[in-house]
Amino acid sequence: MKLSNLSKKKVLLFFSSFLLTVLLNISCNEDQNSNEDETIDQTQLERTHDKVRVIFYSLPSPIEVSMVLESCGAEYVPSLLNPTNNIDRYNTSFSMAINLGIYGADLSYASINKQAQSTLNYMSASLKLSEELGILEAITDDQLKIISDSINNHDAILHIISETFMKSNSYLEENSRPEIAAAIISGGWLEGLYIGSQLAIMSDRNTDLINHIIGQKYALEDLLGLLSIYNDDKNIKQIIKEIKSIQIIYETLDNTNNKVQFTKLCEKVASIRNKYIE
Amino acid sequence: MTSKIKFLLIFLLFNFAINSTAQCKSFAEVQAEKLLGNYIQSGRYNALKLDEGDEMLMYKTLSPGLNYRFIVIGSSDLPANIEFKVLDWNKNVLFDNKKNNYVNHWDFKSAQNQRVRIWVKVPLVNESKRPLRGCIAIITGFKRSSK
Repeated sequence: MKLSNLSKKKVLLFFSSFLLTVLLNISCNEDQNSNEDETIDQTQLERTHDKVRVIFYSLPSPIEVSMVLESCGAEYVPSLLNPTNNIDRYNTSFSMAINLGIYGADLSYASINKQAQSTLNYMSASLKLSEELGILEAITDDQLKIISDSINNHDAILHIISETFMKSNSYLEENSRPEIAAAIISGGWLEGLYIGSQLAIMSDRNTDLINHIIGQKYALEDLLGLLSIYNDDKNIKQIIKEIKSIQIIYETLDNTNNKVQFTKLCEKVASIRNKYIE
Repeated sequence: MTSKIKFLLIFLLFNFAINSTAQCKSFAEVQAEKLLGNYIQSGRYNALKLDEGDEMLMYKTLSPGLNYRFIVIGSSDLPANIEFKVLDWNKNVLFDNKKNNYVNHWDFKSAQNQRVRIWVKVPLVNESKRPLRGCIAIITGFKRSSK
């Protein structure tokens, strides 16, 4: 049976409205309660705030994490970083994205510690991966010029790295590749946790560093909330599984004196991170 | 002909959705530059179009050793008095801008690792007419804290 013209219009209107709603939801990261833990929380929130339309998850940026490590008195240990000559190993969009996040965190760590040559090397590796992922448009020629001109201007570099990270993220979200943005964020967070946890072990159990690592359980929850939006993607599903394996150890780690569990956490983080950089 | 109209409509709607988000992110970018001062921007451009009466929420993890600035700002097509509160995970209100003359930012130094919620509401001022609609941005920045 053919639809009447009026019905066709209705179907078209419905389809278009549906499409618009879907697009708005994706681009705005609206929480659809796909994460079980967040569902409970959202329900609680709805009791008091029934018009909450959108939930954003704001993870600490790589620069922020590096600054916290610095404030804990952590040293610069270059052997912890993912060597830039590993870059040729990354030939899928997913491996490029997660390692762009990892290099972004290494770049931030080098930059906070005022390591000019390493900053340039990691900047160059990050730009190469950005180019291969097709997000170099997010970084303007002006910014590239400022970077090369002001490599010794520490504050300017920090602002540029931060801005570049944010622009790349927005660019991917606006170009319908939010799962790539989510993989970059995951790589950055994982590398920050890896560097911090290794430094905590090396520095003879610096209490501030250990507290920082323990505090990352909150960021982990935010990361899971963010990733759950894209859990139809098989790579994101895999990251979720691995982040959840870290979460299980976090649940047993309630204080800084639990050395066995803390070591287990550090080992788990290292094994996941090392798998991604291979 | 009909299929061309369908395609055009879907194309326009697609572009509208993408453009309105991009437009709000540009708004956030401009405001961040104006309002962050010497704070470094954290996370992402958290911005979107809201109607009056709508609310949005952001989760943010804070670390000791850093100072944070939270900024909530609406575009000029929205009512002026955008409300925001910062709550800790037990829903204790750390800051309520309604009690502070609707200022658009709050600076905070966390003594511990903690997760906070930033709750934002666009007030309802135009109930009888078509609702006002515009961009809202939540911007967070951080800097080293002086010891």
